[in-house]
Amino acid sequence: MSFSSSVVQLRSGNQMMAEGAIQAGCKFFAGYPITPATGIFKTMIDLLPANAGVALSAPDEISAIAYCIGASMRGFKTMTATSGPGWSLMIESVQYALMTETPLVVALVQRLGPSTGGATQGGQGDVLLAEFCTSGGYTLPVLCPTNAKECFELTILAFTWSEILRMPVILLSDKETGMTVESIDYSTLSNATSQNRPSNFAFRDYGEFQKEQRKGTYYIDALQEIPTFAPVGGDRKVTATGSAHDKQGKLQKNSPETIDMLIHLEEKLRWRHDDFSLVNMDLQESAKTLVISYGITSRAAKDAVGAARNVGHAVSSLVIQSLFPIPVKKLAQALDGIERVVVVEENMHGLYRSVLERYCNGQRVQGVNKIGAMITPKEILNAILG
Amino acid sequence: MTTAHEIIIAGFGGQGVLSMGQILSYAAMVEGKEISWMPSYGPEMRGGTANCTVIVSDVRISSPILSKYDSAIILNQPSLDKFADHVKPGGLLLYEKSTIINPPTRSDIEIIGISAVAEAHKLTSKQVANMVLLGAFLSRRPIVSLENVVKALKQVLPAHRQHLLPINEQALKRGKELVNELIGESV
Repeated sequence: MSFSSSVVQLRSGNQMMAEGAIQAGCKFFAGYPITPATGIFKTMIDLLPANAGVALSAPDEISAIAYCIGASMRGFKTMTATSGPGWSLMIESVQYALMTETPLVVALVQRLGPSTGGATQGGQGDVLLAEFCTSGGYTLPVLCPTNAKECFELTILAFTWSEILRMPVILLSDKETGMTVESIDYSTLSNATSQNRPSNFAFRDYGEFQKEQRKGTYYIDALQEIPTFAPVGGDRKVTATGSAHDKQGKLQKNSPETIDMLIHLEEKLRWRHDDFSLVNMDLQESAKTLVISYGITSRAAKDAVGAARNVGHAVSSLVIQSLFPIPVKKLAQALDGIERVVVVEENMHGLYRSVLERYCNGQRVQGVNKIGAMITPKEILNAILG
Repeated sequence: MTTAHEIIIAGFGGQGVLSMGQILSYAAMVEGKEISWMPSYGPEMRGGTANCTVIVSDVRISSPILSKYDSAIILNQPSLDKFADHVKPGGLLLYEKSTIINPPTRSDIEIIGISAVAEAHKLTSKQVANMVLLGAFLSRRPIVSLENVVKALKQVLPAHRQHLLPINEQALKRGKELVNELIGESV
């Protein structure tokens, strides 16, 4: 279904995520089909083999993510895709990827929960389940596209972050973003690929090799450093365990070095936090109201903000693409001079609002929330004017 | 301000509701328009309700849903009951007659009932009922040309279905004729 003569094509967000992954250099995909994420799975099965990659249909989600972690440990950029019920199964293994500092991109296309919920209904109810899925409360980068084009761009970015940081990155989409088909002008897409994990082992001699070897799998000089990657099955011995370990990768209990390594898992991200802030700010100087939105609801919010301005109501808008780590500096900039914050999200009680509230100083924070159907521009406009 | 046309196409799964929207979208893309095609259906493999919201616009589309539609193409009673009130005043409501027991009654919109399934049977393929409706719709709201719909069909139909192109084209034209006959009668 393509018009090869034209650079404009009709594509769904799911297709664009798969195409973004391939452009980023993803060489391995394993998944288990689940609505509304199946479009990513299917596109990867269709396209990845022709792009010198392997796409596998796994027997279940636990195997799918485990396959990906294995392939990533061997040195390949990998991705899997799922929705709420499958994500629940992947949570154990995504922590293993975090602990073993294994790059991995997981596309989580949200649907209506809980449990199997509404397979074909959208929702933004997995925001905190994506972020706070680790025991120990580690920060996982979560990126959230608002349309098909951003699905492409943020997927490439997700690979870059996951590679640079050597950690899993979550791409948080939703049914409407993933399955809505839009016109995509390919001439406006970036040709950039993703960056690669730090791995530079060109040893001059065996002595140097041995010296490096003794340092261990996770050798770092400072907590924020990223250990140099060596593939499993390569020249160098690699130790990987989900248990707390020292720089050698050896299981240890409570040694200062082991605790340091646990702090390092958070510190490597915290250090680069500002580089990863990604938002769309549309601020008006005289505005007292700020609308904060993400994902699919930001599109209705954009219409609502435009409509409010058309009737002479000053209002600012902040669309957050990097949901976690929270882009605190940009948030503070957007909050400057604001008296009232309206957070729009398609879940029951305002999940993301609950974490944003602590960054609001004195502003009144209210939500526009709904489940089972998309929030309309009118509902947001009422909240802005109300 | 608005150059966008928002259409809801709704019916049962299997009636070609989603494909109709897709084909319309492809045709609009050929004409250089901005498109948003948003599907919505139940978890059932067959049956169940299905609809899609198509926005065709000259400018970039923000929200893929709005609260009112410019046009509705309706293929069953539950969809009519659900969406009839959501057509903008002055808008168009086109429906497939044989599936509707209680026809719409609004007087502030244009309402057209077409026997698309019966016409499709006459063309020896009930599957093209959706193209009869699309032809009828485009006759009243020419947001894309029939030629470009045919071009889109060529692209959308897989190789083993290309032989169905002529009958689809006939169905589109028949839909257009039907509406013209209807309008002719009422004038």
